[in-house]
Amino acid sequence: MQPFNRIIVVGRGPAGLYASALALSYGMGVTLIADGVGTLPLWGGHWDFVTTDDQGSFVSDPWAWWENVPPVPGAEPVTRAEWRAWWGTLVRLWDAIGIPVDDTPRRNRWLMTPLGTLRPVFLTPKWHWIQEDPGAVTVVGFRDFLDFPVAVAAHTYAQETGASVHTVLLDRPPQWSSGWQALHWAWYFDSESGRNWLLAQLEATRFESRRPVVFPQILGVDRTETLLGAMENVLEVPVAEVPLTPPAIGGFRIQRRWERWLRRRGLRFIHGHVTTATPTSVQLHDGRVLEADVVVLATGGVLGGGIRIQADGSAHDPVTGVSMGRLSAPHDLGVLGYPAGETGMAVVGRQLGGRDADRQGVGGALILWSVHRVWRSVGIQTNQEGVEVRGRIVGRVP
Amino acid sequence: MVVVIGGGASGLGVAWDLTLRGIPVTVVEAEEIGAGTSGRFHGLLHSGGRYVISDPVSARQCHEENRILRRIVPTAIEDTGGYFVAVGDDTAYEEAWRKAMDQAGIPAVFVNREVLAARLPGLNPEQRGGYWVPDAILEGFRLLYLLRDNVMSHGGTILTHSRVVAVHEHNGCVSGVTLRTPEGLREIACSAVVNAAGPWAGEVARLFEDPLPMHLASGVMLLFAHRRVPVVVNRLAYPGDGDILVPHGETVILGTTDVHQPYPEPPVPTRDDVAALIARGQLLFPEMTEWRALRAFAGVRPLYASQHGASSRSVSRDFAVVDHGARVGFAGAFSLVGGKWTTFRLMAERTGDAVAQFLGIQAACRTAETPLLPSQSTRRGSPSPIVCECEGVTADDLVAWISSSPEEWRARTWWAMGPCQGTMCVHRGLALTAPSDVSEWRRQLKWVREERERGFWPAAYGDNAREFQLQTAVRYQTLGEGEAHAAL
Ligand SMILES: Cc1cc2nc3c(=O)[nH]c(=O)nc-3n(C[C@H](O)[C@H](O)[C@H](O)COP(=O)(O)OP(=O)(O)OC[C@H]3O[C@@H](n4cnc5c(N)ncnc54)[C@H](O)[C@@H]3O)c2cc1C
Ligand SMILES: Cc1cc2nc3c(=O)[nH]c(=O)nc-3n(C[C@H](O)[C@H](O)[C@H](O)COP(=O)(O)OP(=O)(O)OC[C@H]3O[C@@H](n4cnc5c(N)ncnc54)[C@H](O)[C@@H]3O)c2cc1C
Repeated sequence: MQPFNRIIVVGRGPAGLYASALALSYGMGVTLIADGVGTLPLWGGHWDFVTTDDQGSFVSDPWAWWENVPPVPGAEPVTRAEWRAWWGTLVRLWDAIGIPVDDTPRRNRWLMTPLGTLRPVFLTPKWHWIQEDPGAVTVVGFRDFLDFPVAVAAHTYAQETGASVHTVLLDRPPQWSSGWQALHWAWYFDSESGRNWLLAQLEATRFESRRPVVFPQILGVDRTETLLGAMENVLEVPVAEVPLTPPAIGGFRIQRRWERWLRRRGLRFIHGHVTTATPTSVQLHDGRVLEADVVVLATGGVLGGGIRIQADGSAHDPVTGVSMGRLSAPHDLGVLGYPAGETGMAVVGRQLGGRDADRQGVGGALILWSVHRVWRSVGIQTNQEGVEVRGRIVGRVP
Repeated sequence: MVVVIGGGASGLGVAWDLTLRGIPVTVVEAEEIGAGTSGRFHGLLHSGGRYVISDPVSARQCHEENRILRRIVPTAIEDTGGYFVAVGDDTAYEEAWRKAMDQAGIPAVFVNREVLAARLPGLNPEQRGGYWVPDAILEGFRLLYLLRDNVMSHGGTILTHSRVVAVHEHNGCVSGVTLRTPEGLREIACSAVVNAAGPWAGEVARLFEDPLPMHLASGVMLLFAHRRVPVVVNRLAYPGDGDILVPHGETVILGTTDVHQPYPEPPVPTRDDVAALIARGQLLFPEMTEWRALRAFAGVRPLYASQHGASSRSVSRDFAVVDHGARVGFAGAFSLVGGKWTTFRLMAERTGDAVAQFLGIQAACRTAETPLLPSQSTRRGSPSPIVCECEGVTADDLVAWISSSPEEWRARTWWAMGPCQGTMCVHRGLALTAPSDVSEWRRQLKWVREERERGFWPAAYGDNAREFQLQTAVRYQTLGEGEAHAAL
């Protein structure tokens, strides 16, 4: 059997990147088409398994929670072994790409939000500040950097955990100007002068000893690890970051590294808008028609642009014409998408419906499940050992 | 001393009128300045063209006042002019309208099809040309705060979050009012009271034991991103739904609907309201479904219905100054009802005349000649970080009004009013208040989010639906604002 050489993935959000990365690593030829950057620069890049149950309570053991629960209504539940294999694949992939990550976690840990509240989180890059047991901390802010209001964060964190919190407010750098966003700060800290300025500030400031020091997630883009190492040398305690609102540097770092890795492996990238998609072809806005063995839709649902809402509340996929029914309440927006059953299209990530990833924190898990499911459905065993090509499925036009 | 009930256009207008006559005033407002209809209107400084057939008295008043306001409050008016566009083949209305405009003395200059098409890209190709009229844009909140600041700098008092719950009499004359405030009940003595409570005027009049026949009608408006039209655009037809577009800053507002309702509170706009408005708006701009919507909002017209049961489009936009002394012997009690934003000064003048005469004070109205001067600019020299990117609001802009409530904060600075509807900046702005009480801070955040969401959701279609999803993701995933997080 011939391996597929013509895979088209539409969308460069986390689902599109993961689908492309797997396909490439199995030796397939991949063309990635997207008309926008996707959601990675909007969030820190921590991949959730499940954070919140159907009643709105936090989940501490996601492995147990998924035991009998299907990823989306109408699908088969996934075994622990399968989940473990998939998380393992992601961890190894990130490691290969150069996104620093620990082994697959055994349970959810705690992530601090920019407002000082805590929420459960599963797999994260190492630069995130993650705790099993929330404890004493020093929280650092910068004057006039408003995305991380230190006083509020410290106050909330102390009140929620009972732990002692020390705050430090550093000045703004001499280069600062009033239009500076998170990305300006991060590029500045990548530069030599930025790094030197920050280390000098740390030298000159008194920190409480023996407790971790937490910064807003703006400590560089490409040189974060070096900077964190240098900071830990000065402070002699662990240093980590709190992910912030968009532009979110954590996700931005991940996407840069990931896409660089994909290009080096031969990914063909087209910046363009897909107007029509069938299971084996896409048409671009400029009229080009590209044929494929498999077209994967990673178009991101409502936020990604894969689902269009009309003023009358009806919803549809603009590239396939598939109708998604009609909205009646704000909550519906979050669960809109393709059903779990056979629709003819290979659909991954947020373009699948059935669960509200924002309220339940299942976005990361759904990407893993849906991508592996797609490759399996076309006959590719995406287990740890590698890839086995079984045959070719020609999809039906819905 | 005179107590004025209501901190909208009518109440603040009366307070300014009385202040300039040298009569001490206290304005009492149940919520915030502009919390009623005056903060939820379409923002059109009428030329009179809209009402010239249906309501010629009001049309003439609008025309007169339009000219006066351009003189006295140039900083709250953007003089764009406006078009009345003829669409379809109702030439009879056009003919009658032109004659009526002539008779009322309101300028209307014919503009041919080609010029209109060039000036208004996307305009319905079935248009037959139109007319230029002296419509303009009225920045409601700016004018409300101009009035407020000028009344206060002339010694007047303005109390917000103070609801009048009783009016006292002594020997058949007004002697004071009781206010409900967050600190409890409070009485103030006065020798006259003016009810300028807009849609609530009927309720307040009951405190005078002299009910007023009000005709309340809500109107929904839809705000779009981008200034799609450079000037005001009206459809040349008998006043109906969705037939006016008013540009405001970088946005444009389509309005309105007209639905009779028995209660004074504005309804929460629905998706159906929005869809119906757009369908009407498409008569002017057929591609309107593709325009990027931002939010919907609603206000309630406080019309005065001398004849009950009439449809509100036919109820006069004229106003009335009611003297409850003459009607039921409650001397010193007045109500100002009906009217338009555009005519607020004239309404205040007539009310001021009645009140001054009652008090035996010989002082003529001076509002038509006295400019309303802006208070000092709040912007400082040193660079300050931007809190709200959409509207370019800096931390210093917000800190200048830090002791005001979130509503006033928004209205003063326009923080959280742009395309992201506060997604990125509500928490940043509130953090500037250096909160010490975490639960109170959370309550405020939730309150602002919910207020924004009420108008955001009915307009969440197309790209605005994506924005809505982004807001949900930021709230629940990044900021942990969800219920579970609060329960931890
Ligand atoms: C603020 C925020 C916080 C988040 N926090 C978390 C978290 O804490 N944990 C977690 O696990 N997940 C989180 N997520 C992720 C979220 O839950 C989703 O799982 C994820 O964003 C979906 O990714 P996606 O790849 O499916 O789609 P997207 O990232 O939306 O990508 C869609 C892609 O499709 C492209 N596209 C769409 N239509 C077309 C077309 N016609 N032609 C060409 N290209 C097209 C777009 O340009 C884009 O590149 C967060 C997301 C956001 C926005
Ligand atoms: C949809 C719509 C669009 C409009 N568009 C335009 C337009 O484009 N141009 C134009 O000229 N006009 C327009 N109007 C009309 C205009 O907005 C109103 O006529 C005007 O704002 C009414 O102002 P007001 O001060 O009388 O009432 P309000 O602004 O409602 O003020 C009344 C105030 O009284 C307060 N109050 C109520 N009860 C009490 C109490 N017991 N004690 C203390 N305070 C109390 C309320 O909180 C409120 O703030 C529009 C109206 C609507 C509904």
